[in-house]
Amino acid sequence: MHPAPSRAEPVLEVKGLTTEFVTDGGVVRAVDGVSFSLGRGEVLGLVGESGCGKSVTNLSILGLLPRPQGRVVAGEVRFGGRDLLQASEAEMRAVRGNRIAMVFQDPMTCLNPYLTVEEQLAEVGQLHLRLSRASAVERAVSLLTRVGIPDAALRIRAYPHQFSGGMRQRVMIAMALLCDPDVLVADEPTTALDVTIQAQILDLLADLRRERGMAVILVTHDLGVVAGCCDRVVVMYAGRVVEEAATGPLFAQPMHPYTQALLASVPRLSGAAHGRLASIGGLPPRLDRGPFRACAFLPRCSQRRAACEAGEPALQGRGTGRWSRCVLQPGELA
Amino acid sequence: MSAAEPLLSVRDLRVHVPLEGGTVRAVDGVSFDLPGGSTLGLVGESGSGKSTVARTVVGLNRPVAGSIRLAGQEIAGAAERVLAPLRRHVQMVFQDPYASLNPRMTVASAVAEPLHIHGLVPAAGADAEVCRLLELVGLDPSMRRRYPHEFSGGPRQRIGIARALAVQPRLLLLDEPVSALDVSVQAQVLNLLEDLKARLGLTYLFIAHNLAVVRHVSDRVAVLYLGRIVEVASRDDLYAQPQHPYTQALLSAVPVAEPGRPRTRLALKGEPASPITPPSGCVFRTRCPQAVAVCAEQVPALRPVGAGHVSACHWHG
Repeated sequence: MHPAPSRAEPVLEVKGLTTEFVTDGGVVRAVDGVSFSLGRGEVLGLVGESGCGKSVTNLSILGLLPRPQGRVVAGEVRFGGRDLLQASEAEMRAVRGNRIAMVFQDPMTCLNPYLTVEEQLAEVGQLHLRLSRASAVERAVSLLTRVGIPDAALRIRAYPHQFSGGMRQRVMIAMALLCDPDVLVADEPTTALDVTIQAQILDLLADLRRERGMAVILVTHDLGVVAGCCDRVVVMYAGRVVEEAATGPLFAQPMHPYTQALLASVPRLSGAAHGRLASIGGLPPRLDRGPFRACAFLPRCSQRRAACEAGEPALQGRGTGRWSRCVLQPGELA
Repeated sequence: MSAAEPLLSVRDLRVHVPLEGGTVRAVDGVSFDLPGGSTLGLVGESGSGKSTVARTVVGLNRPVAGSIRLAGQEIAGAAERVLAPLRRHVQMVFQDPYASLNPRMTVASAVAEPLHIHGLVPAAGADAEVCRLLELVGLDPSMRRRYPHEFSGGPRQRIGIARALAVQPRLLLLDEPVSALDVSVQAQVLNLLEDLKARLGLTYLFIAHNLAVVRHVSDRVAVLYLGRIVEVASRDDLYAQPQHPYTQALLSAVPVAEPGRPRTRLALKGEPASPITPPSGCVFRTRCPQAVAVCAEQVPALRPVGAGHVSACHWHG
């Protein structure tokens, strides 16, 4: 369905990323040894329940963890020949919003309510691309047009609150794309939008990845969006990667019981309609109790057996480009 | 109430909200019937009027025109003394259990409050009733002394449901009850709603923007656009044979969790028009790929397009 991205040249590589938060109740290890690579032009989906570490992974990559509570305690983020985790704040500011751009779920938290869209978008072009004010505005108008904002030359003078939710999200996407980034980190970019607007935004991202080779890390809880947009999927649970696979094989034959359960719990638009949905009993484990002595998913897993208590399973190869953190071989899974 | 009479019958409901810049026609001529024991799904995009319909039925908004009959009795514009005894038959469950529960009330007092207001249980029996209600929604009654913030999203929504069920309603208005929940928890709450409906003989008006969720729970589905119903059909007909161009576009825009599944997306341009200055004629015509001259001149009526299936488009017949 999508052009196969070249795995030979990863544009971003995350290795063994481990992030902790210091809280009143102790140290919470929100992300534990997460590794993945992102090819040029590739869309990588990051899925899992709330609190599984998707957003913290992204904030760690971007150097945007809340200080001083949050800190990366181990790992590397390779980008442009260096480790971003070792970069100074000044160096990160040159990368962030420029080579690596981001879009968050709620545009109002990212747009300044006191400044017009023109002031905010032109600033990006002036700062990162060293454009004159006039050329920066011109570039901003062309991108706003591109993301589907009618009368962009006029509307650019409005304040964020004068746009609808869908329009604001598009303004934020235009802002993220101003510098033609190599990587876009998109955290639930369409969750707040209606489906017809969501479809327009996802089409736009697909165009940009095709035309400019932009790579995307897409965090979403919507498995439909994953199926329609992503080349590969990383499934996270309790701060860990529990499965990684190309999108087609993942949906056709999930190899971790957690992935199986997630896929089974979604109501569908076709096929049998009524009846009980599969659900996952219980809650994700607490992350402030030190290392796991067994599989982190064990208490909720319907396929657990004695071997699962012997220690936390490693992420194991399951054929080309597939990994699963489960002791069960594909043939042994339900 | 005769056997054939629906539990809820809404006719030509209009809810207009005055604002500085003009009047928002949030609901502009909505009619539907909801037979007892069934579930009607209400779908549409933000601003289509879904929540306003439910809020008006439960009395949180006042209609400017139209009729709302509950078990045959008119409640739109009725006097308080008529409404008070009827209120307990209709209860609402809101999207955000974080916002709809008082953070300073324990679970027990939140669930008991409606019992006291409606004088349903003597004070001495309230605690036992709270325990019964919590068990009914799958919560451990020993948790009843806790506060809402001590619960995560799924259990908190169960508390909201227990509170709604406290007064033994016949009709639940569920406004995006699972939208804020993770998919695994969403499945648990949807299963609970199915169980409760069967066990207590409830009737649901189920509002959601997630079309797959609505398909899962509904017997019939009504599609709203800019304050008007554009199509109503049985669940199977609506999803298999949508007749209105808006329903067709809406369904084709839903991402499907099946990679590589071939599908034709009917792309819609732009966004819905403003409900302050709705377009003349058909309100969907500004985004409709099939709009012609007549669509700007006349409001299309809902016309039968199949058994129990109506749609409002000039292209029909």
